[in-house]
Amino acid sequence: MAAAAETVEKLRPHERALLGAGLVAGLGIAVLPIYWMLLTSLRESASVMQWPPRLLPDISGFSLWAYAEVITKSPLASWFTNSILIATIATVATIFISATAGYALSRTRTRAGLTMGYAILVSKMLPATLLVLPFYIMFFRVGLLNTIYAPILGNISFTVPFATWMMKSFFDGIPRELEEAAVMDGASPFRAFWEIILPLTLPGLAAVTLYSFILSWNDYVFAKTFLAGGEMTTLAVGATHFLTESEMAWNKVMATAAMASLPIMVIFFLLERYFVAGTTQGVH
Amino acid sequence: MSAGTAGLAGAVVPRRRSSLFAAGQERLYVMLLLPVAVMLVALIAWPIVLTVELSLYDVRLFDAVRNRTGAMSLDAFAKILSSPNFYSSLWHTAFYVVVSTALAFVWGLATAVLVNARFPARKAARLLIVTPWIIPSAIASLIWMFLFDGHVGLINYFLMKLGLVDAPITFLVNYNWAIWTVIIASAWKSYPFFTIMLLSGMQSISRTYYEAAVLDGASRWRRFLDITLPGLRNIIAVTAFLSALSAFREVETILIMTGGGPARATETLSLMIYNETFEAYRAGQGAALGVIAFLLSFLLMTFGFRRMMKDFF
Repeated sequence: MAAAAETVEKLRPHERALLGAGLVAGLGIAVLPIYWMLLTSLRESASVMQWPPRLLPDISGFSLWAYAEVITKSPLASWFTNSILIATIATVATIFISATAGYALSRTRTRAGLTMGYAILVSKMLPATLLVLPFYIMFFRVGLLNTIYAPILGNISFTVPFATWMMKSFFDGIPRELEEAAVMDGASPFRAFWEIILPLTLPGLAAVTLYSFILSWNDYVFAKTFLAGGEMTTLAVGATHFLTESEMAWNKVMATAAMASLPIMVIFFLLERYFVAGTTQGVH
Repeated sequence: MSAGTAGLAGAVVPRRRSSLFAAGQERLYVMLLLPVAVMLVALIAWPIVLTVELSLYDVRLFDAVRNRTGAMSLDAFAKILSSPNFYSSLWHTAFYVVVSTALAFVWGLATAVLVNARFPARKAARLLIVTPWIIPSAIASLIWMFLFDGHVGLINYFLMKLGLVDAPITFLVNYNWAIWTVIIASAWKSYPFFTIMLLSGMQSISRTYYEAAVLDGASRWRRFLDITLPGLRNIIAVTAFLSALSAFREVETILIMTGGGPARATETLSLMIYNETFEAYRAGQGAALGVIAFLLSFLLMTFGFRRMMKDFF
């Protein structure tokens, strides 16, 4: 039926032209900045600063100079390791906290549970800059400043409320009768949760994993404020190190930027449906 | 075990065992809520208390990290409320939040309509159109900084090519233009959220409405106005609310692109908190601004709260 309705109504020529023009504009705006990042990263300094800029790649002008420069003369390996460690540890902690909390919030009927849900919702909306200063002071006092745990904790404060909200709505989609029956069959409430309910939310766990990893990987403010810089920082912050008073090395900036965003883009292209599920699930 | 037999088992359980079941379950829920409770206290509640406390001492950052001395006062608040920079930051915040969210909404709706149509390679187009969503905002900001560059920037090149300007404009350090550079960069980052939400909303509108409208001879435009938009009303409200909220808390784009300058032309409330604390080292005043921002976002939340609560519980 649905397909029939769509085929009945063919696009008229002017509508087709409009769709084509819209797609060119839409794709252009989405992709052109990314294309420009990649192209710039593959050029030597002289051709980056050339006016007028050349929009098309010229094969003979391709150069991996900026990549080589960044890899050999800056602490890129250390930035990469920090980014990966921070995002991974923050993600593991987020999954643990949000899966347990999401389940409890989805099932509980007590006043305390509802209050907790309210508190999580409010904290999801706090401005991040509001937390940077108190975090800075807290981390200084306990000696966590300039360790990767500072940005990890910062990221957790941001990802957990998000992820808990998401997990709760995934658990909401699983009928309560399932764990009731398991408990009747002699399973403890925890085993019913762990062995029967949790495996059913695999798509939810996947969405939460991707979300937390990407939010933590993309963080800039926590890493910039809590880490000293130099070797001790992340890729996103490291990319800005090539913009100085004396030199705007845009090809090195873009080479680092490409290395910071390409892994994320690949993950996204492969697992896009989980992202979309996670995003739309949280709001419906 | 299928949901059907589980439902049957649940139905024949005697009342007493069912309440025993409930008690056991509630104990488990309390345990499962412990980790998140610890996190909320340590990483949300305590920092807020600390911010409020700090705002009552007008101290420098170096003193703030150690133990504070002296009496509590409202000096930090008094200084902020008497500073014209505070009021201009409120105006920048409102302008930035409203315009960048509006741009993201319009472009998100347009792209959602586009990729909802049928055409070859639609799946690939959908992916590419939402790609900006996944780019780290620090990276997106760097890219847009380069695009807006006053010497070799692509945007100046296009504007000159089109004959709109005679000489390159140094957008990022221009008092009037700078705010537009950060608005456009952040709208580019946030429109895909609208695309995804609105597209999924469009797909959940029943086809029978459209079929009936086609039979009645309604044009494509009328169908969009009379079926699609009303059907999306709730999603638009929630998405716009969340997007505005994230623009309100946004700091990375502005911090990287302009740092709040030139001459504070792009300093929003969020950025002013950051700059006061970590650039000017006035931690007390930064904290006082934080308290004000917290109250403001609380107001914003109660504004859109009824809907959010309804979705949550």
